[in-house]
Amino acid sequence: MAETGEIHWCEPLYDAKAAELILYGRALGLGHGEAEDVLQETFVALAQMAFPPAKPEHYCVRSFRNRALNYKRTLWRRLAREWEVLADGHLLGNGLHWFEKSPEETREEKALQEATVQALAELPVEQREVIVLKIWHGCTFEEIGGLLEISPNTAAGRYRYGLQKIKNKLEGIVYERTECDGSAIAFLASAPAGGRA
Amino acid sequence: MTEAQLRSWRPRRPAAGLKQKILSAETVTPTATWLWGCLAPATVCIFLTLMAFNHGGDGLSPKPMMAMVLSNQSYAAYASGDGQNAQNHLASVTFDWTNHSSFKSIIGFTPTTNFSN
Repeated sequence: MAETGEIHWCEPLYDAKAAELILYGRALGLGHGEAEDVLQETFVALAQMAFPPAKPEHYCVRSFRNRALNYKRTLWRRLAREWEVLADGHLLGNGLHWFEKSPEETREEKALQEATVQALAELPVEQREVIVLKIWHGCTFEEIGGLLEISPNTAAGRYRYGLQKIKNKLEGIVYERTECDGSAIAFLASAPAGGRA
Repeated sequence: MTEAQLRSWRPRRPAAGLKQKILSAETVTPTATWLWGCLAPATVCIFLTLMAFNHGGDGLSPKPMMAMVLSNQSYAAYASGDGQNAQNHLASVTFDWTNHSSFKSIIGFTPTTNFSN
């Protein structure tokens, strides 16, 4: 593939989906390095397919999920992850670095992002993965239901409850800050109650 | 905070070299790595097995206990080391419960011999 100079069909797919899949891996409870390992396994397997599957984006998300769940089951990796979680307690910024840092973001935006990721990380994995698939993968509830083998209504419920929990958590944080220094953050006022199917 | 605002955050990208690693020919054909990963533990197992079963090497030295037990299953009872122990003694195992005080019969099943007469 690489030696012939031709672009393999999965190369554009990698460019389009790699970062989102890493985020999905984080939502499934993997560390960043572990998510990269699973991403590599997934795309190595895809690269061995001569022709793309019917829906390459859905196929690679499904394949990534299956591999990520298998990866999590391994004893040594589970122990390593627990160790990483302990380390994250001391290196919180590195452990919850789920998004790219924008150079022009303000201090408030950065604080909001950190608080949101913290709240997202504290959700149950079922709600977290639905939120990531809906928002960052652009999946519909039908597609999420098909992937997770649940009904679209269940997927929508998990999404709604998950977002509500994040909102409640952020409101609590804002309340604490308002109590401390008297500066209210206005963006939380428009937090949605739920999502659309 | 809106859904659009969340969507505007770009997920963290994987390491820069990962794409090349995936798409390079070396990684696409991981046969050698896979083969080594399978063969190395198998080789170690075979080596340890040979070590265990060929202890001594002159054919005259006593066989190891494990080899003897595996070659003849009837030796398994003696593998614990103290030979014919209490569990293997038929009379004490089978009739021991009849000699307890809870057994109401006056007739004991354990053979007793009176040599006084």
